[in-house]
Amino acid sequence: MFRKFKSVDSWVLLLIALPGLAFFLVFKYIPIAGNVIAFQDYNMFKGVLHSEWAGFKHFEFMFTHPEFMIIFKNSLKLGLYSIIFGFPAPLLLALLLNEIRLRWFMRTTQTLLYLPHFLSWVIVGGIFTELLSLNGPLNQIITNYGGEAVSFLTEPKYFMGIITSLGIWKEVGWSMIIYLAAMTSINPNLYEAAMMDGAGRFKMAWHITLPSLMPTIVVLMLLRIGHLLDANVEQVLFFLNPLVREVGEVFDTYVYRVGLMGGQYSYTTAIGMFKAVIGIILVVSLNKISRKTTGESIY
Amino acid sequence: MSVISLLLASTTVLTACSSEKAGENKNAASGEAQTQAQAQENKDISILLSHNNSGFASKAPEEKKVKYYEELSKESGYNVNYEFLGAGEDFRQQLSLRFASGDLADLVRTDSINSDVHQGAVDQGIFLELGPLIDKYGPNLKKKIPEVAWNSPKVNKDGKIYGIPVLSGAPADRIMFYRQDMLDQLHMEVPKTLDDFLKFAEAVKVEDVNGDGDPNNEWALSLTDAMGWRDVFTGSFGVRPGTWHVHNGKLEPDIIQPEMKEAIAFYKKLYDNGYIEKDFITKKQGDSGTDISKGLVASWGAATYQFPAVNAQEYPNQPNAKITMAVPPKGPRGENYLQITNDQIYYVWTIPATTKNPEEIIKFLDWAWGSPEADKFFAYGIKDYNYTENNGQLQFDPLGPNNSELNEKEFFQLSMNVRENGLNNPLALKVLPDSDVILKGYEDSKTTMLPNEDAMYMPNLKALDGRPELTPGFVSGSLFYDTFVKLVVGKEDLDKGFDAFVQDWKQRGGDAAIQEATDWYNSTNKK
Repeated sequence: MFRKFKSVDSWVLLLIALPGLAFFLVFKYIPIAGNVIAFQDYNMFKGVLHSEWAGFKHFEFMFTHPEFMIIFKNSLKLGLYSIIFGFPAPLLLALLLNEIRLRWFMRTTQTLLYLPHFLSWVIVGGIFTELLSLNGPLNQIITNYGGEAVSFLTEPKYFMGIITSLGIWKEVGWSMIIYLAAMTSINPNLYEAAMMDGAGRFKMAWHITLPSLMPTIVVLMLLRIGHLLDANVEQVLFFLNPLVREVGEVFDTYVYRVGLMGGQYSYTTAIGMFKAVIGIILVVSLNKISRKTTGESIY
Repeated sequence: MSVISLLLASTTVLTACSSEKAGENKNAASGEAQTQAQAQENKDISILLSHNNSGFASKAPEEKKVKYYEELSKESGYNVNYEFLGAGEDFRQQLSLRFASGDLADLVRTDSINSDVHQGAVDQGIFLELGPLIDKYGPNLKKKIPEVAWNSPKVNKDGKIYGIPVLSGAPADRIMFYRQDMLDQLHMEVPKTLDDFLKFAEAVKVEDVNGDGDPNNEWALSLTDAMGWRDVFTGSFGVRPGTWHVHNGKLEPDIIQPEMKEAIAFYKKLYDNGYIEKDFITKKQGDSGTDISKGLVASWGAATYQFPAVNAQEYPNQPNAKITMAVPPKGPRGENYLQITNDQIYYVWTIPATTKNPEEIIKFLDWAWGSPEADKFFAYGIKDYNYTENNGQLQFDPLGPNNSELNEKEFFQLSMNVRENGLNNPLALKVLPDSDVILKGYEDSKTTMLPNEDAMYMPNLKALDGRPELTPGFVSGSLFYDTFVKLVVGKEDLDKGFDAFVQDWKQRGGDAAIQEATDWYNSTNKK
């Protein structure tokens, strides 16, 4: 092994890896040091080195913010909803799509399904605001059947549902591609053997496709769980209004308002850090659990 | 977190790049060419500003803009170089990155020298102190920019000048638009009082005023999520969100006064009676243009300079559509304020301390304020392209293809204009169709200014730092805005809800803010 490393080829390989390594160093690792501003009163012109230290002031300010628990609860809820409903959705869709034997139909469906991924949230938001508005098509159908028009966008109880389902609608096709790709690498002999043994389609999916996808599923899940408290700012901001703020305000929208509009860099970095710490704890513990139970892990 | 860390990292990289560039320039200007190059460089002026979503500035390709830069350079004798950043939030983010990296220009646009975008810049000596330079090189600046603007804390700190005001061009420009054809159809005059308005609103609701066969899709007033812009009625009760006034020796925001509750009650009445759309709060400001052209709304808050475009735009299937400008209806005490008396500052120029030729920059601005060529350029653009001259008679067609496509005339009147919002300039106004109507609109607008002598120059309050929820205006996410909407749609009881809001606002830092504001007021008025 060591001898091999000395050969010229290895050096070339290292050289090829260098830009990637440099990227991670410069854009991912060095910026981590920037987190110290959470403990400073950061001033843009004094820089990280000369800003005054503030200790845990910003963390205190965060935890004593009257709405902190509400924001935390909302972020957690949105994160859990998007994982519980959003995570299995592309897998399910991939399994279903995989069963389609009509090649052209499958291809077309696949393309149509991932098309929304390329639309910006402003457009998607606009479309659905129109659809869900009081005079929109959905409410027209409801009233035509004798129901009463529902104000979907201002009723707090619908907010999380709308955000979660729109997130799924927009991204499900795109996330599905990874699973479809993983499915192509499953050995077809397995299916043939199963067929010989009299397994039907459902059994094949259950006993062959799913287990073969397990490593992919676990890795994606572990990567996803770290972002539990991250929401899509554009998406949530678009649907946020005074009537649903109490259920819709999440960390990211709060940071957007306080940090970017109010110039509170240190404070918002403290919030970001809090989110990241929770993310790290989740990833590490889930990774451990997963290694013990499924044998799969990301490190 | 990652966004900010990335921002910091890229900052270091950017700084490295820009300092390298400066080094190259120095090398290039070596030897014999040096003196000549330096003289040339002194006439170079780089300007960093926002395109503010103006059609031509934001969408036209650079090569179409060059002719304007060349024309201005030719007229002024300076070599101007504009760089347009984004608008609104984008602008703030981009600008803060530029400040962090030090990659600035000779003239930098900001909303105030105390802006959050570059917090602490004045204390850190980032901006050049301009007082002595203006005294020496800017006689026209002194003369033409009013005292009310120079005194503003947006340019002035402890009596020292760090910024040059760019003027809004008119002391007041907010006004209401009514659909005259709808008024005619109802045989009504423009509502003079709130009671008149209620009668008008009822008629709009009952009749099919847009003539599409459906009598139930018309609303008397357009409201959207941008309430700060669409709110026309709080002033009829003598208050405006965002304003502070002295009450019993204390400087307090208007939003916690009992008059504000009356105003909310009036909006609630409009809402309950179906005079405004039920889901107005989910309406984006950008979509309201559609409602207006479809004839779904009969009146809305607007600005005088919008009149030509809105009056001329197409109203499908409504051949008689016509706009009338009017002041808002008067309230119970005869008031109808639509705007706060302000310092007339549109935005502020700053000159970074690193700029090499600040006296030349001041001279350039002085030229822009003082010379008739500049007046002409910032009103009519380029001769034989934007306007023609026949026997000394100037011909400017605002609807001509070179002026109207992408709203090209806004480029020299507004976007490039280093003095003011030139759309409000009398030279630009007098060539518009219906210019007498528009000029009258400006006069009317002036009568709706809410007196603001108590707090016009109040600096940012420390007590509100990091607490956007306490902002005393229609700012998204503020307690006031949330409460306003909840009370209007009846989610909370008006009296209980409003009192609870006042209590909450005060408790969460509002009391401290009032104390700080009062202290400031007392200290400035002792002199």
